[in-house]
Amino acid sequence: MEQMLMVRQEFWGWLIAGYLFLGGTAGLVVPISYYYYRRDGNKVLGAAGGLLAFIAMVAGLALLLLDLGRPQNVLALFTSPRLNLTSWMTIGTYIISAYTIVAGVYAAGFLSWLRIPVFRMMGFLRRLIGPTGILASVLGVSTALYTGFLLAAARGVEFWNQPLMPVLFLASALSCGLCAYCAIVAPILFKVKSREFLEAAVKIRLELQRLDTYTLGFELILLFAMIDIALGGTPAQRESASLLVAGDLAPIFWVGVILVGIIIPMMIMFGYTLRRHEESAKIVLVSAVAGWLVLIGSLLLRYAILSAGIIPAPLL
Amino acid sequence: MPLRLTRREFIKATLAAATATAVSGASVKTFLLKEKQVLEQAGKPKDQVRYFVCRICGGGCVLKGYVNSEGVLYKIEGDPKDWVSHGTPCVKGKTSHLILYDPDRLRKPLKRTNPDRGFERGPNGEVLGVKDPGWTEVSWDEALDAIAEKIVEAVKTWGPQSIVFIGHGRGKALASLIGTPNVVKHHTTCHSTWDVTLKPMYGGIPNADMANSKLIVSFGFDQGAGKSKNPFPWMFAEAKRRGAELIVFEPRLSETANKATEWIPIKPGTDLAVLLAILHTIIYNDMYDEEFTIRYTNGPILVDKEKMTYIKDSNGNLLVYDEAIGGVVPLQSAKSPALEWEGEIGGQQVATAFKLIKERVKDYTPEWAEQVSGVPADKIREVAWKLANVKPASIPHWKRSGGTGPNRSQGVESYKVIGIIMAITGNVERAGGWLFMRNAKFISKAISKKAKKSFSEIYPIPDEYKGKTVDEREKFPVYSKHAKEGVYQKVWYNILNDHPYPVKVVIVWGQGLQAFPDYDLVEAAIRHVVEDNNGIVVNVNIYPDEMAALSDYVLPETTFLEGSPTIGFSKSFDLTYRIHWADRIPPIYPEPKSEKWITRELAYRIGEKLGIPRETLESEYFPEYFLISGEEAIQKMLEEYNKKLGTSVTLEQLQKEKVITQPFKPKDLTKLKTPSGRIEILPTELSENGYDPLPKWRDSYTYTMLGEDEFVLVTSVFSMNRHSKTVNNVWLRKFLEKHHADKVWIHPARARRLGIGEGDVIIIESVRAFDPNRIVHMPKFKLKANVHVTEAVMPDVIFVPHGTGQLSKFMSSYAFGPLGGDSVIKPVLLNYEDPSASSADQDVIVRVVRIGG
Amino acid sequence: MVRYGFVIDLRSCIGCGACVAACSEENTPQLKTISPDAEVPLGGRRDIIIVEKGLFPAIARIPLHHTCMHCEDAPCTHVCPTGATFKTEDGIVLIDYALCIGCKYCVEACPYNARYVNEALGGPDKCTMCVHRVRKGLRPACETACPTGSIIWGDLDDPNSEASRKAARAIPIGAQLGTKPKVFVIPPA
Repeated sequence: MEQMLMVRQEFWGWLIAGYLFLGGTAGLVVPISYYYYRRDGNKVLGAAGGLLAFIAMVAGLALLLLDLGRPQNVLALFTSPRLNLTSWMTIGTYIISAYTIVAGVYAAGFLSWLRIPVFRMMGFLRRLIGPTGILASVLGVSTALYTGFLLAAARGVEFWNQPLMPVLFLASALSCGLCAYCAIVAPILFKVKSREFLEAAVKIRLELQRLDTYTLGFELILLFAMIDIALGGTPAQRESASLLVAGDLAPIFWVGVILVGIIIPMMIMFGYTLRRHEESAKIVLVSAVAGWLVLIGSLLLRYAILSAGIIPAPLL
Repeated sequence: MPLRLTRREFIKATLAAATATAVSGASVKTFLLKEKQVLEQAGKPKDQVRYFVCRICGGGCVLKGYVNSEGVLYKIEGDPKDWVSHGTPCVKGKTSHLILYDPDRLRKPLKRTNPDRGFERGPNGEVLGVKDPGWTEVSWDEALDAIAEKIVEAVKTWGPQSIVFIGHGRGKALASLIGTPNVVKHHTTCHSTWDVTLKPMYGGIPNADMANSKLIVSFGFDQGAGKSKNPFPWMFAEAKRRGAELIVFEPRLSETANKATEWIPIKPGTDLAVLLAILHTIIYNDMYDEEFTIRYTNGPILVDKEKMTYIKDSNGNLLVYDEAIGGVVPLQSAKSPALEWEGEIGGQQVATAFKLIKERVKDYTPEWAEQVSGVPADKIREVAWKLANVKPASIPHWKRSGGTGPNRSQGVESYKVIGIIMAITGNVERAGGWLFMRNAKFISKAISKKAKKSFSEIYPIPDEYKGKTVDEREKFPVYSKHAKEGVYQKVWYNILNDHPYPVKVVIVWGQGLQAFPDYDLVEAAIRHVVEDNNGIVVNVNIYPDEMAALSDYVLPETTFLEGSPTIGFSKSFDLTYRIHWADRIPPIYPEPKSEKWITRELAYRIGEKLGIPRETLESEYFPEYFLISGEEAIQKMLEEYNKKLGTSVTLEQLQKEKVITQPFKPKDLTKLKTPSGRIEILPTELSENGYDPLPKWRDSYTYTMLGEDEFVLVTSVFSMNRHSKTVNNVWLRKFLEKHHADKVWIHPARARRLGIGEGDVIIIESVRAFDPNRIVHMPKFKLKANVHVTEAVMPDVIFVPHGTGQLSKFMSSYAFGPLGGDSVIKPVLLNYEDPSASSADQDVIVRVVRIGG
Repeated sequence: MVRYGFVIDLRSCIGCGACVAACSEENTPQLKTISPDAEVPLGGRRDIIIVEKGLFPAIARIPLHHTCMHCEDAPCTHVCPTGATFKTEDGIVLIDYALCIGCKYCVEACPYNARYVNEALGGPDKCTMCVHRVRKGLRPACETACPTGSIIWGDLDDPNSEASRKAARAIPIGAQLGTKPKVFVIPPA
């Protein structure tokens, strides 16, 4: 006569969703930028990626700090005599701190090429682009993965304890990272008309967006697989999945996550941007819109998953 | 599905590397260090310990309160030396400090300015609330002067009888000073049935020593886990732990039934049929304890077959038929009295009392009872067999029980049968059976509440009203002899009808409105007193509740936790007399006053207006109660205690030990306070007064058919609530909510047919009573409530929790539960043939209409 | 070794809530010494939930207890980044607010949902097994408050303690979770 109490988790909300989202997005930005730097020697993309990752990580950390109920003790994360190195919270903190710093150094290396005196002085950092790029890439992927593991290891919420959760978060992080370029980097650079960028822009945009469509497709499959597993899983998982599919989170899930975050961007990319082999203000704008939709969808995805968390407390 | 990996294994695998280095780093020393820090963080509050005696129910548990450095009473525990609570007061007493600091509490005397008083009505005739009285704060002087003025006016013009006190006997001393006979208490809605059955049969009230019972058979007794006079829950739990069998007959899965070994659903109002069949089975199968019945009951004593009164010889001796001699001899000289004999003495047809009982229950077979009650005959036989053979066994009982109390038309008859069964199975005054309830209440008599001289000597009761009470209690001689309590349910009806005389002043003292049936009647009666008789209605209260909002003046009282040190005593089942010391704390607000202060101040003012100087009042009129208080009073009560029990308890000793226990000897069952000195299984006191002493089933006192939308009303109180005293306690309300005590309960099968779902809003109205002859007044108001659809009630029954549904908007508990509670729709029921004057207000059929989701 | 735990006897528990009230009364002053505004809300650290089970007339209303299990293998201690949540030698799971950063990970990690977030503290709060009383030789407030004696606290490793004797016949709550909980239930008859 098992009895359980299903409690909706309400402690992690928008702040943590934003934190996970920023962590995921930033996590894949540096690896992408480093890839293009190594392949094409594209410094602009390198600089933009590093800078974007750095800003996003700082913002993410700020959100995490804001969510902490006892920020006065935050240093305990580093100084506690009983530091728990097996907690994903600790591991994550270290990874993201390291990533933030390394991404910052990585970005600074690129920025030193700018004809601005302050950055000029950091010329010595150029030599570090190689090692920091590799390190930041590793840390970045770890950051993205960690956001999934953080949830997957929270034993109370069975819906999060799915093995596909880290995979989903990684996939979503990849699509976010790809879209961050179209959504943020491309419009800015188009405005400043960076020659170096424009040359490669078309090629890179096509590559990024093509990869993004695959990722989004993969994400969609993952998402439904997870929902399907959950619907056939424990009562709490069933409950969580039904909250997403038919409960109070259904509008966010179907419209926000699936339609706005995946279907519409894919339609835009397949139907328009992927067919345009030139770069114009219109294309950049449409690409940016698609990118932003993916980013919004990813944020909503994280919020929906957090919000659908249910702790099934056994009582008898 | 291929994707369905087991998630825990996956997580484990991904964490494996990390886990290897885990935990090991933690040494025990660090743990202890951390714990020390936690303890230091927590600190050590410096508390003062204060003792109290709980007055939420009549149980009187010792409360051990903790007062912090800011003087706040924040925590209450029990005292293991206290038998009543066994060191664990119930949740009501435990959280009673919330009453003390309740933001809704009255702090100043209030006077109403809105002349339009009464209830707000909804479109369906339901009660929605009490109209705003437009209170203004007044000084004690103004309030008391105005009340004294009215009392004096009433005394001078209509006589002292036109002043009525309603409540738990509060203001009694003032009533005696004024000389009014009208102090009305709640017994007829509570336990008047035992006053007219157990007292004539046993000369006292025995009750079940459940903790030691091996078998407990309950007929609607919901104190085990519900209602919860505190000794009962732990006795009940203790019995369960010791492996006792608990069988509960009840139409609803009450709190007690829920914890029983077996719950036997029974058609409401038919417990008597099952009881009679059990008695039939025990007698006709010779399963009774013959020796006990002959030695300690009046079973063998000869009575007149017609009148059912004792036959006595010329010396006034009771007679028995001696089988050894083969003739009738005086009781005291009989060797082997016959239990069953009938014959003729001097032309009178006589028989033994037992024989008459046997004849009376002849036709009440289990098969008959099955037809009436729906309980299978074999089940009845089984219970009868167990009751006769499992020892010790007990049938617990208390007021307002679903089956036996005054809330049932046949409650008196049920009590008679229970009294007989317990006696003839030999389960009286033995551990685990019935023990006489005793308490050290006698010490309170050390300080008389009766005035030395009454104002009625100056302004007497008019001749035509002499010997008459406002509630006509004189029409119930046996009840009035054993309980000077009055006929509660009829009081407002009589006031409204100026019967037997008009009333000018009504003082409702510490009694919630929900205690009265039939709200539209109460409303009309209060209006009549004020508007037609130019009188006033005064309420002494701690809350601005419904009753307060209907009154002219509201006087704030202190809670039982505040005041000077006092002494407490409690009922006990462990053969000891107990007294408790209560420190109490000083009143937390300056204005609320004690009962004694209010009555005495009123007395001074009345005396002054009647032209009696203070000194004369104090020396010639005042009861001792007005003059003695504090340690002097305690000292006097202790003297009484020591005198009666031959002890030498001192004030200091009591103050130090807090609880003093004095064992007493079991009662001699041949020297009881009954006419024969024995247990009277045929209570001749009833026959002497013209009542039938033997149990009898009346078909007309039950119901047969229910309409599609009709239900039998069943009410009870949950263990976390005691009506108006606790319903404003926010914590208790949270617990009540968990138990669905804020909703009315309907069985799913019936609910479905009426289209009612969980949480739907319904309107309930009374349509008829089981016994139409009882109806004095049918309520016009209807009850609005939310529904809980549950399998825990019989389909015939609607359960309306009592004590929730506050109507005053000045209370945070406003509208928690059915609006106004069951009392709104309870009719005024009274039968002059029923010796107990009981209200039988659960034998009511109601109609239900769904009005919203 | 001493290993403290609870046995809850649902045969006699009437679901009155005295334990819940006692918990709040007892522990609020303790929390106030950490944060002056903090209090243990009613039902915060321990609560009762009434469940109706069965069909008429074989129906029971079961009062279930919702509180910390003081698991031997406690998930909360595994996820706490700073070690603020820790286990004492005798198996009581406690929170050290000098280390707690308020990340609420432990709240999400507890499969019994035994933790709640205390707004005034900004961090999690949970049953401490009244450790401040236990260290003084007293017993936890909930046990002391139970009018029917349905909560039994004691050393589960001491074969003579009432708790260990009762635990032998009781079932651990949610044993299937594998965290080795130390709160046992004797199911209603």
